[in-house]
Amino acid sequence: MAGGIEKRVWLAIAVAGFLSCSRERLAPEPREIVVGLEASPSTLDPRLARDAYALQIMPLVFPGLFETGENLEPEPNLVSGYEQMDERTYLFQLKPGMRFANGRELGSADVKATIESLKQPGLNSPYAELADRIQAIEILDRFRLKIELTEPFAPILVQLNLGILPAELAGKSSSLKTEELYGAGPFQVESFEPGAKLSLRQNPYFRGARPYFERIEFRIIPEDTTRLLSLEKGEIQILQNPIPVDELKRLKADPRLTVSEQLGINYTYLGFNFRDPILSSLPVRQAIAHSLNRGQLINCLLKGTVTKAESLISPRHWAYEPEVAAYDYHPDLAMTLLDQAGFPDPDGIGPKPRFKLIYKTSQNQQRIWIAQAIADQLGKVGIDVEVRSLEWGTLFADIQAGNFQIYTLTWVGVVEPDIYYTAFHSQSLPPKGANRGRYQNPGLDQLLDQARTNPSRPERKVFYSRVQKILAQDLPYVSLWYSNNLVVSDQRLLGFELGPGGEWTGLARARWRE
Amino acid sequence: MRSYFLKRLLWFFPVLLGVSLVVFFFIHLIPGDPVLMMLGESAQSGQVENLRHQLHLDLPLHRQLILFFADLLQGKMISIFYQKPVLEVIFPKLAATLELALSAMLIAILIALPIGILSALRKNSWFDFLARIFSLLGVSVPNFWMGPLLILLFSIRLGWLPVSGKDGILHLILPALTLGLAMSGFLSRMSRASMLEVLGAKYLESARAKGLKEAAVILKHALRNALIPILTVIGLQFGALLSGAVITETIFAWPGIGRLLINAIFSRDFPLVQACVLIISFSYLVVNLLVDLCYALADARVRLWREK
Repeated sequence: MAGGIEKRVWLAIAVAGFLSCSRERLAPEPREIVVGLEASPSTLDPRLARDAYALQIMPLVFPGLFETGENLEPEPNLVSGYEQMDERTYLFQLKPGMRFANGRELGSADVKATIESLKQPGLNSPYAELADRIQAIEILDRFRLKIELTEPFAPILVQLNLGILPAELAGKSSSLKTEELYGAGPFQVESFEPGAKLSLRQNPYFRGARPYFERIEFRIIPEDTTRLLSLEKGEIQILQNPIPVDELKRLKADPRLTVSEQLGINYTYLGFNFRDPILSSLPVRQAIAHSLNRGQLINCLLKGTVTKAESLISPRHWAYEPEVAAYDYHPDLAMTLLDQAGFPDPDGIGPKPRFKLIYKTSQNQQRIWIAQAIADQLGKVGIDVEVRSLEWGTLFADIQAGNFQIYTLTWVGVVEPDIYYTAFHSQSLPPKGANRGRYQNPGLDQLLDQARTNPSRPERKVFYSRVQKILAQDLPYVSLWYSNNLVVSDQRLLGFELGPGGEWTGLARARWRE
Repeated sequence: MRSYFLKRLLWFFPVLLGVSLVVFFFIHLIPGDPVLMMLGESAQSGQVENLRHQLHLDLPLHRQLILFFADLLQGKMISIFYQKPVLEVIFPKLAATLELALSAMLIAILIALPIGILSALRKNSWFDFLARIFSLLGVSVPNFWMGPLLILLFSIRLGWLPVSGKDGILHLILPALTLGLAMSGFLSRMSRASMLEVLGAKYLESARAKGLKEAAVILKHALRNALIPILTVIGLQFGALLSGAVITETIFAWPGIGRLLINAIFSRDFPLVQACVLIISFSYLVVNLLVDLCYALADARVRLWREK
């Protein structure tokens, strides 16, 4: 009897094994690629989406009038050319023959309708500011339109990377349904299950070079280890940051995978609260900057997956200024500066600190390690640091409210140098902007005002060069690093290049090795 | 029996009302502004006020509460993050969670009941010893460790099963096994203890004296009487699975309601949090009611007492 049961059990195991073995090592469909994502886009409606996951996918479906070029300057995308008629008026010429996925040709009316739709009160578009900056949009003919701004605003071209919708859909005052998510890009949305997966298929009417892949699936796998194991198993074929740094060595050694790395445009910094009596002192901020051994943090904690930063915009940016004050690791100088600032060490190398700071950071494990390492480095010059890791919503609320002393955050996808206005202009104090440290400098305000209204790029570069030098001296932030764009893919994938902000547009030009 | 059932159904309303009130007040205590989370720091002031008004966040708390109940009863709650009606967002996730919870429960019952019964019947034998080690491991090994181990073994080493996602029955096996093994540890301990208590009862000796076969004595008389505490545990664990499988859902990228709820809390999506908690509470109540009804099926004394 027992023998009979045992036989049946073994038979069941053998059958299960046989059935399962037929699915071993999942190979991708011939013209399909599966991408692993850490989190789900909230929506793909270009008027509403503002999370990084959506912004990285959307250019595949909804191209804008401009896209980001190699030096992070705006390059024509849906437009064949443009002309600035005066400081407030632009004339745009659309490329003819660009077709939406329903076959209809994209024209001036679609651009006008999409931009004007941002103002709809019920829509609550985070891009309503763009529409507010526009006085009038005049359709000159099917492919030409004139945009008149309320006041001169140089960053307008970067803001016009907004995905263009068909006019009949742009009129809707609520989020678009999945079947309505189509633009004039190489792909259209096939299905979207938030939190699970998003599938794109080719736009049959796409005018440009036909993509090799007929279908792209974005699969949401929140857990880092599972995402990597899915890649090793072949269930997904490509993923980008975040990749656990401790796994990189192993991934690089795997002959089935390719790891590529390039300088990214996500900037991590240590921010100060200027309304804090201790941190309003420049020597204290300089001392903190000199106490940080960024090289050690980069090599030991982050395994070289980031690049040391000295400025908010990256060295690949057209407005980057390399000649700014740098703060190398110099603990002796840091201690001297603290003494001069009126914070002598009460007991020399003893346990009593010069003063105490609270350092707020998110609950991301890597962020906590970084905060603890920074606290340790500051402890060596006599600054006692208490690390408080907070859930994201609480951290963001505290920082917005100015309820912090020092914190670490990352600016994601820094493309337009007008970000300096958002981050440091005295008109950008929260909730109107992101001058979270409440830094105020009238001289800098004047430069930022001039830089955002001047249409000449060489002149803007001069303004931003001075802005970067002032900020490096005043130190509202200590620059930490730029995250490198890391991509791990199946080694059979050819021709893929990640966009500067991590955009997946390169998938429209990639293919499998034959 | 019917009146008992109806009475229990009526109890749903005050419980759900209480849950709604608690969730409503607690979520407003959490720091963080859903409007700024949605619109970001570049939002125009008029726009912020407009959205705040749409979400009723500019009103006093008691008026917000009234409007919350009005939206709830009319089914007009909209997720801030997904910009869709909350039920449209929740139902696919709830279905996925139910699928996972039922499969895990089935695995747990199939493993734990035989082990618990045999362990009690062969008390202090080597089988009992091994079973107790198994149940101890089941209770102590955390899911965040068990899940990756199962992936490494069955997906990477053996290549039998997919690593993650939800795309057919093969994708269900590993997450269900992770949850099922953890539950089976506790359930087998409970079954063993419950059976041991019953096995010493006098009525079993009477049953044997009547000439019943041992299998009939165990299954018909002992197990049936031991079932009530086991059913209670099954009901409680199933209820806990409806919201507490977040770790397993995250490891296996299973798009369930637990993960949805956590993300909704992080993004301060108040309507979605409130709707998720209400639906989970409702499911908990239904499961508890079903367990209570099962008591009556398992034990005639319960049925008779209720009829009285």
